Parts: sequence; C-alpha cells; structure tokens
Amino acid sequence: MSDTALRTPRAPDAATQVASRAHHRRLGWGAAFIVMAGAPFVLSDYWLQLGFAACVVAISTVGLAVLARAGQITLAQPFFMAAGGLTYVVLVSPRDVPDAIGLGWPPVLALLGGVVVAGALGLLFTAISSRLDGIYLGMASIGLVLLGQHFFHNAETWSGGVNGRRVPDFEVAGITFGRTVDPPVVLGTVFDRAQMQWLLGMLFLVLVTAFVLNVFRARPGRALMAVESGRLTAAVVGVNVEAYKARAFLVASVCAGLSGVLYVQSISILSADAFDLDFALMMLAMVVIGGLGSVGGAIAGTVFVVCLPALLQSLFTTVPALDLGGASTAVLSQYVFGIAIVLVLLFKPTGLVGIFTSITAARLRPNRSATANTTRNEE
Amino acid sequence: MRTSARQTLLSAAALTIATLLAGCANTSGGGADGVQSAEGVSGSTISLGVVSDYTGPFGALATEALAGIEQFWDEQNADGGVCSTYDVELVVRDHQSNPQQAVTAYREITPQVAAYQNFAGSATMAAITPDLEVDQRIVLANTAADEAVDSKYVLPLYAKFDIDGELSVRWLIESGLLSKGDTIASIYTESDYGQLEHEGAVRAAEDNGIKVKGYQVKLTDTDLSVAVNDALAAGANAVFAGVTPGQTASIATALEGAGADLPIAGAVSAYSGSLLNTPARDYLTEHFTGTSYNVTGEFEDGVELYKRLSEANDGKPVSSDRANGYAAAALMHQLLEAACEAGDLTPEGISAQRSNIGVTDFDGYAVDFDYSTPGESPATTAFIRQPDASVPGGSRTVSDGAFGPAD
Repeated sequence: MSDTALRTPRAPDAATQVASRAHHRRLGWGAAFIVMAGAPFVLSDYWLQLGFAACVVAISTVGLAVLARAGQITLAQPFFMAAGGLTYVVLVSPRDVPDAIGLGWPPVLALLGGVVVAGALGLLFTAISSRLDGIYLGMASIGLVLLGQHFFHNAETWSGGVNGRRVPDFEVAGITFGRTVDPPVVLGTVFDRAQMQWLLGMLFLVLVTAFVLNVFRARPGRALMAVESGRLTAAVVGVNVEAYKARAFLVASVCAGLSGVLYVQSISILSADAFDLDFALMMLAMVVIGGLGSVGGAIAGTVFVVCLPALLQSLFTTVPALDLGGASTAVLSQYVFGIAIVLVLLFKPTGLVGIFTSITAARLRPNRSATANTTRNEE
Repeated sequence: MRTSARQTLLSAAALTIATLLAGCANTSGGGADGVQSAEGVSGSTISLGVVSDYTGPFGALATEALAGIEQFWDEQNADGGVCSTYDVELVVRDHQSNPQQAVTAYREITPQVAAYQNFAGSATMAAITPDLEVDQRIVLANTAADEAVDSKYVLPLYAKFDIDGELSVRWLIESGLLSKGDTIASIYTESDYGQLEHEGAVRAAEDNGIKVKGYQVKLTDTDLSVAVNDALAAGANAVFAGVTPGQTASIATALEGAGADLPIAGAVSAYSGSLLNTPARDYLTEHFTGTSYNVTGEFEDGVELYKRLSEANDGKPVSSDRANGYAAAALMHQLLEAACEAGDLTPEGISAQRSNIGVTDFDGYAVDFDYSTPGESPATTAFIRQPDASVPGGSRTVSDGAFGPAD
C-alpha cells in the first residue's frame, strides 16, 4: 500500500487538479444558470428585487476586485456608477420633457452610452490613478465622489438636481424590464418587473464575471498579480506597471458604468443621494468582507452586505422572540450586521471566500497544499 | 477529484434547494395566515406600513415620531380600533435615508399593508412614487417636496417646503425684526428640502424689498461657522435656517461666538426640542422662531396631549416629534374610519378617501390640512414656535393661532 502511495507521481495529480477545476467551473456555471432560470418560478417579487439589487452592485464590486488584484483600491465606484446612470437617463429620456435634457435614444444604445461614458471618465482618471498606490489612490478617488455629488445637485437639466429624475425602463426587442400592463406568462408564472429585472441583473453579472475570470486566468491576470506583489519585481519581469494599473482602473470604471445603468433601474430614480460616499464605503466593505482581489469574494461580500440588513429585519419581525417592536428591531439588526462584519474580519481576514476555501481545504485534506496553491488562480 | 466533484455538485444542489426553499417560504407574499394579506387586512387587523430612517442621520427624530404613532394606535386599539372592529398593527422597516433600502423595504411590505402610516425622506419618497400609482397605497409622508405633493397617493404632513420657508421669513418681517433694505442670510442644505425652503425665503424677502445672501451647505456639514461669519461680514440682519436641527445649533453657536444679536427664522425641520440640551439653548431661546404644523405644549390640547405622551414615556419629557407622530396617526385614523364607513377597506378604498375627508380635523393637534387637490400645498398656514424649555415638547407658539396664509 505504502509503495503504491510513494510511487504515485505528482504530474498526474496536477493534471487531475486541472481537470477537476475545469469540472468545478462547469458545475459552477451550471448552478448559476439553474439559479438564474429557476428563481423567477419560485421566489417572490421581493426576493427577486433584492437579488437584482445585489447582482447590480456586485457588477461594480467585481470591478473593484480587478483593481484589488493589482493591489489598488478606489472609492470612486459610485462616481462612475452615477456617470453611467446619468448618461443612460439623459440618452434614453424623451426629447419633449420640459426643463430636462433627453435625446430619445433606444435603451440598448443608451446602456452602451452609459458604459462608454463611464469608461471614458475612468480613462481620463487613469492619468492620476496609474501614478498612485493603495491608500493614496483611495483618497484621491474620494474627490471624484464629492465632485459627482456637486454636479448632480446643481446640473438640474441633466440630473434633475436634488429632486432626482425618473428612470425610463430598459427595453430590448420589445421586451420591457419594468412594470407592464400585460406582462408575459411563462409556465404559469407572470414575468413582470421583478422577474425580468432579475434575469437582466443575473445575465449581466454572469457576463462580467466570465469576462473578469478569463482576464484573471490569462496573461493580464498574472501581470496584475505581479504588480500587486511589487512594482519593481513586476517591471523586472517585463510588466508595464503603469499601463496595467491604468487598464485595471478602466475595467473597474466600465463595470461601475454598467452597474450604474442597472442600479438606477433598481431604485427607479436617478438620485445623487444614491451615489454618495457612504455607498463607496459600503462597497469597500463588500470587497473586504468577501475577500480582497477575488471575484467570488466580491460577489459573496456584496450579497452579504446588500441582503443581510433586509434579511435580518425581515427575520426579526417574523420571529416573535426577536421582534422588539418598531424601531428597536431595525436597531438590533444593525447591531447584528455590524457584529457579523467584525466577526468575519476578526476570525477570517481573508473574508467569506477565505472561509469557503478553508472548508474546502479541510474536506480535501490530502490535496490541501495543491488546493491552497491553486485557489487564487481559480477564482 | 471524485470527492471534490461530488462536493461541488452537492454545493450546487444545496444552493438550488436553499433557493427553492427560500422561495417557497416567501411566495405567499403576505402574513402567515395568507388571508387577504395582499390587501393589508387580515381578519380584524389592518396592517399599516411605517418606513423611516431609524439608524441613519434622522434616527432620533424618526424614533420619537414612531413612538407617537405607536401610542396613538395603542390607545385607539384599546378604545375599539377602527370602526369598533379592526385593530391596527404597524409593519416597521428602516431605510437609513438610502433610496435603495427604501425601495427594498417598500417592495417587501407593500403586499402586507393597506396603507403607509409614515414614509420619510424626499429622495426615498421619490423612489417609490411611481410604484404608488400601481399599488394604490396612500402614504402619509414626512416630506413636502414637489414629487410628493404632486402625487395623489401622498399626503405630506407639512406645507410645501417653499411655502414653509416663506411663512418663516414673513413672520420675521411682520414682527418688525426685518424690514425693507435689510439683508437676510439664507443658509440651506443641498437637498430638495433646503433648496425649496430657500426659494420660499427668497420670495418672502424680495417681495418686501429685503436682500438675500444664500449659502448652500451639505446635509452632513456640522460646522456652519464659515457661512455665518461671512454673512456677518456681509452685514446680514437675520438668518434663515433651511437646515437640520444640528446645523441650526451650529448657526446659533457661531452667532453667539461672534457676539452677534441676529434673529434666526427656521424651517419646519430646523428645530427639535432636543436642541435645548445643547450649548445653543440660550441663544436659540432668545433668537429663534420657526414653523410648526402641530400644536405646542402650552395650549389646552397640547397640555393634555403632552401629558399623555409623557406618561407613556415613564414620566420623562417628550419632544414635539412624538406629538407629530401622534397627529399623523390621527389623520390616518380619519382616513380608515371614512373608508370603513364607505364599506371599502381595500388600499384603493382607503386612497379614495383622500378627496372625501375635506379639510382635516386633528382635534386641535395641528393646523388645517386640505388634501383635496394633489399638486397644491396641503397647508398654507403654520404655527410659529419659539424654543421654551419650560413647555412640554420644548417649544411654545408665539403666533396668534395659525400664521398665514402664505401669499
């Protein structure tokens, strides 16, 4: 027995691991497809809408994960989200609305316009972002959020000013992703706003995730990791550090632009209050709680932060022992939410993805070292 | 490999099953009994939604208002409830002044409630207003921004903010504290509340030949001394405060620090009884007047109300915010009674009573509100109050009854 074990060569093990990872990926995408397609048939409108909000914000935090992969952090995601959302609303709104600019574009083109404008603004800011690192970039990016807020409040014909502006529903090929008079019925389930928006959010999240995972697995992903591990080392092995940092920022801003277009659909209005510094800090919390630099972590952290307060309030009011009545329940849920964040970071600084990795590694103890070595590339 | 593949498959299956279970647990969309919950009436219970900011910047104010709402319905339920048949229960959610959380909370509880006893905030209200057209839930709102006033499903609990600002400044003018040729510094927040208040203040001032110097501050600013000192350097004779209570305290402290003796005219949300516990107390007591839509504690009705509110608070003093909540609950009671009398307690039936209740009767707790025409300010008058620590609620009315109407 021991002879066989000792003679087992390492190469087949590695090959097996690669095959296993590919198999896991297929299963993961399969599960994502099942959840995406099956949820509208079983989940209530409320959970679908919460899910849509989580998907939409996750698109932005996945962008943050790309930056974090290069050792960068930014608080400017709400600015680029606001840029995407504002561009979409301006482009898609009808021309004849008084005191408001509207170009009457088709929604698909308006969506692309939102993404392009956010990307262009991101590209402009790369002149600064590629020269800054870590906390300094974080601080510089705060300026963008404040600038965006000021613009939003004062450019009334664009943004509606402090009152905000209505967001026309997204439509493509005659399908409306909003409330309709006569929504389609599929297998006995009415596909109204909640169901359609869920599909839209999941579809875009899956596409963005697939794109970013491919980037991580390919040469740019390795270059980003090299930049994170040390600028000098990366430069020595031929990585153009500033160019890769700029590209990472561009990808993050494009993700935020797309997220912004969808986010304004989620909250129905374009409002400056929705893209403030608090939101930037919450997104930072999402990627830290999920696990910095990991796509899976960014998504898990986002779901955790977006859904947990609502879940706790809902849970506390349905369990009599936990229902303190009125505002006390809301306050209690905030305490539990805060404690949950502290516990995650205290006991697992690598975040939710770290917890998942630990569990997997414990279950697959014989392959632990190999798993640990390959986990990061897998995400 | 086999183990890990099986585990991944199991994880995927577990995720799917969890999703399915979560869905099954919630697809009923309403209360546990599942009876008429979509209408918000279950058996002999009417459910009303309350969505406000309990853990965000307006937490203290909203919590006090909720206590007033709860007390009204506790008393009313003990006294036979609505139509001597229905008890009222509240479904409370916190939105932290965040539009996304507000939308989430609204979409969660709307299937469970017949109407909204309270929904706070302008941006949060604007986020749900389009849905109200479909869901047909009537909402008593702690905002009087344009969007809210224009909706036939929203009943603002104040005059439109521009009218509110106008009334506040006009009081200074009619009191002789501000006259033609003077300058008033208008300090207002970068929000629909602040901007509309500022517009009203400008209107009142310019109609009377008074110059206005405007200062826009952020809702989160805590130190307004820069604006105050600039206003003093510009020769301001009075200050209009279209700000939060904390910012009003900052204005008073800065004026006192500069040795200035200027009257402050406050908007409806610029003052809270809790300011009497701050260092600004003395200056505010001598210099501040502001609008209020509910009776203050020195009147007969007010004395009785504050006495009961205080008793329910273990004898401790309560702020005027609690009385505001109580008065708002009294308004909802009128709507529900009218709907019950009409034999229709569905959300549509309750909403239809908006045009039927005419001028509201708050039993003397508030000024008259007329909600019959959406788009029009529901009130054109306000009580003018002044801080007074000796009065329950922390303020007393200095106008002879309701002041106005606005021009």
